[in-house]
Amino acid sequence: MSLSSELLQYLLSGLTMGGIYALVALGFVIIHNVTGIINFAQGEFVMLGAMFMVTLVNAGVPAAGALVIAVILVMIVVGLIEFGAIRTAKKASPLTLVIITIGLSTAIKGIALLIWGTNPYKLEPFTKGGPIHIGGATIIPQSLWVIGTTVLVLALTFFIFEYTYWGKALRACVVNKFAARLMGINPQRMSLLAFVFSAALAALAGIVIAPITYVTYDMGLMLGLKGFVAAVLGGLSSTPGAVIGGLALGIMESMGAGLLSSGYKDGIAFIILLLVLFLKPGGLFGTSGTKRV
Amino acid sequence: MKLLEVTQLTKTFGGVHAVSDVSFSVSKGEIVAVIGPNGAGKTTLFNLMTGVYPPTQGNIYFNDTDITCLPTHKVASLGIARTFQNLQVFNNMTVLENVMVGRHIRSRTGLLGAVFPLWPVQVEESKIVESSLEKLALTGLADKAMEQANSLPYGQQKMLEIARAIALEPELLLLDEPAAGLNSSETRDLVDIIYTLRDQGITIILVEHDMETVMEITDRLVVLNFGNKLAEGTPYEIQNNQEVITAYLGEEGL
Amino acid sequence: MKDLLKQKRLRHALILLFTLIIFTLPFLITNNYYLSVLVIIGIHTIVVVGLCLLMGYAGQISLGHAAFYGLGAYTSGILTSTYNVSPWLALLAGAVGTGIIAYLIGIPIFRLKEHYLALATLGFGLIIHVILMEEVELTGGPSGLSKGIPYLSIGSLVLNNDFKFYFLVWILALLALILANNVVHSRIGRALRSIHGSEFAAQSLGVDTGRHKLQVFALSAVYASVAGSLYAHYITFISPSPFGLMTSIQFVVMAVVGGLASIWGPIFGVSVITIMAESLKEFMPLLIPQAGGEYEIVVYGIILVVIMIFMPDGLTATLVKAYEGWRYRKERANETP
Repeated sequence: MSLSSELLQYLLSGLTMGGIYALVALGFVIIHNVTGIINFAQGEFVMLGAMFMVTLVNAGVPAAGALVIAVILVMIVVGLIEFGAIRTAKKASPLTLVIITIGLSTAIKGIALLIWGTNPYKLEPFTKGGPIHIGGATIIPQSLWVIGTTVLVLALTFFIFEYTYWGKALRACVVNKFAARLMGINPQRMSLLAFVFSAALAALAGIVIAPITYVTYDMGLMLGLKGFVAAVLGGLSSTPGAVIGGLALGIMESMGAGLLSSGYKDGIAFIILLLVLFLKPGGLFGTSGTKRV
Repeated sequence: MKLLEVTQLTKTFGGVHAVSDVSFSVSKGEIVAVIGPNGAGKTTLFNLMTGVYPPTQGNIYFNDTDITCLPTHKVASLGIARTFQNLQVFNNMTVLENVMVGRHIRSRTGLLGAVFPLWPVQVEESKIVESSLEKLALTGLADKAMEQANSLPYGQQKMLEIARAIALEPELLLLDEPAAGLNSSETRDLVDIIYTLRDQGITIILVEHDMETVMEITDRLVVLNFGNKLAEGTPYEIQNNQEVITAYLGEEGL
Repeated sequence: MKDLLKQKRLRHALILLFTLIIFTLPFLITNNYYLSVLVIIGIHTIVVVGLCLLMGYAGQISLGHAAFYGLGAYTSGILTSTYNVSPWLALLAGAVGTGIIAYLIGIPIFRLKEHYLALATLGFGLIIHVILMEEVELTGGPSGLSKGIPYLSIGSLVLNNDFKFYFLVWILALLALILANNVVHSRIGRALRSIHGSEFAAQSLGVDTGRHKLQVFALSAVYASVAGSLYAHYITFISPSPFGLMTSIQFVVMAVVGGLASIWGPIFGVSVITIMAESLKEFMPLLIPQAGGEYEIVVYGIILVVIMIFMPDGLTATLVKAYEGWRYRKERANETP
């Protein structure tokens, strides 16, 4: 394989993972901007989406129906979590809230372990068919599903933000929480909405990636963390930044793993994170991180 | 000799001019008050002088050093201390410990010394306690040293902030509404303390609403209105300045 | 001044009493298993004391402390087994090296807000774990260091059993506590506590908040490294698995359960969690036979959430408050005939 087709190959697989990171990162940004919380449990929402999907499909539910039910189930679970844990502790310090979401993440992972065990589950690709060849590189159909879903979900997100009342209210909170409150937007309701919306994004990410990576109880950690890295790359408060950050991370990771060493694949994201924090604390696409007064 | 010089200082918050083109200077040993109606930009001026945020335009010189964009802790280490309009006492510490934090830049113990407090560290520590107790005595809080800071009544918490600020041995002390919320006897004590500090060679700038006190103790006043400097002069000049009377003092019925 | 001395004396008396209890325990306990649990509690206490300094006094959280723990363990393990360096020298090298690494990665991180530290340390922890797994020539990879790690020795006394090691570990754990206590009551400790009270006012008094947070971060990493070295010489075999994210979370749980604002918190938190984890290992398989090795994490997660929501000051502070309330009510009851 020539270098250029090799690079194309890494680009394609990078875009696939990058789309997933973008969806997770978007969830991080929405929750962070609305509530100020960095939600450690975001990756577990991804895992829950994939697990529900696999369970439903194995129980004989048709894929399309299973997808909808799985996403709704995750939204309900996350809604309950927001209601039960995040809201109860709303006056807590940021440190306390971070610890609470770490606890939630650990608990969700543990419960998933008890329910589904340690074995990996396999989900059939959405469509059958062999790999597709593009200019010397190959891509499996499921990757196209991932990329397509990402594009569709992003378009839908921007539509919701732009044209629906709740979307506009959410976006108002994202842009300026204080002003939104003055305009009579209830921050508690917005917090619930932010969590549930992010949960849907995460669940979708988990469902489309499931046929490529297998589904395990501990798949959420890495996906969640890399989603966070992507969000930081994008400046942590910008929604387009999160998307670009996600794609950039996916491509860098895939190139790095391909050209350097695949054993260090999981390390690459964090080396990038530390480098960005060191060199450009505001994120690659954000404004500088000066203190708020 | 000029201790502090502020030139054409401007600060805007999202288009609103909180402070606009303000210039003045303060000489060593003076007591100067900054007055003006609510929202005139007095506290913003203090925040600019102590590096809480950088000004949009203009410069601040302290002892002929440009301190315009220095971070707060550097400004403090040059010898500018302050108190706050809304109390910022360390509630999680005792009264004495609050003042001991004021000795921070006047002491040297580093992490290694903190972990292994050998003889020199202990000597320094007892010096810190000694001088902190001195400052507490000056502000009438000597017998409260071991109490939790948040158990003090409001007036004493204000005194504690002054004790903490002067523990830093500042050349310049900024007092943000020191008399607000004090009863008349506490205000008398405050005036005495301010005179004592002046006699010790500390230059003082204060923001204050209590006009009687201000006119009594200050050498000079700077009057702000909507972020602009309206007038500057001795208490006598200000009291007879027509512009000030209409803009500000008139309302107060002085 | 008098009160200050009295307070100090009471603190010292408590520490003395605790020391006495700790050093009579191994003569009373003859069961080796219980003794080994106490040794592990001692080792974990050293880590958690450092972590509490960071969390309670600098207000920062680290999810990478297992990495510092691992760096200490592997530095000791590799230097002593492969390069025949003296164990004490290796321990020192690990501590200094880990401290420097923590300081360097802390520089960028501390420019940012608190949750970045949590995630950046987590990322750092994962990188270290990946390195431990991948650098097979140096670390032995997933199967661990193949050459045996020697026992620690003091002069001609080789610490080759639980009983002897117990004393070393607890002397160091108490030392760790005393040194941490020194820090809390020093110029640096006051500066850090003042940041908690009002960061605004602290800065206006010349406290360089970022710098002191960074220093405490490095110090807490040194604590973890020393504990890691002790662990390596106690078990005499190391592999990457005990230095992963779960261990980091476990340390945070211990710190939080004990409570951050008291020096007694760590011992209490570590004891409660370690003893609970050990008993879970006994009883969980009886309740849920199919549960795998990591079922404890459910319990950790739930404990963390519940404690943070209902007792954010930790178990120690809550118990002390409850006791004081009970005593107060009792006194009141005695006064009214």
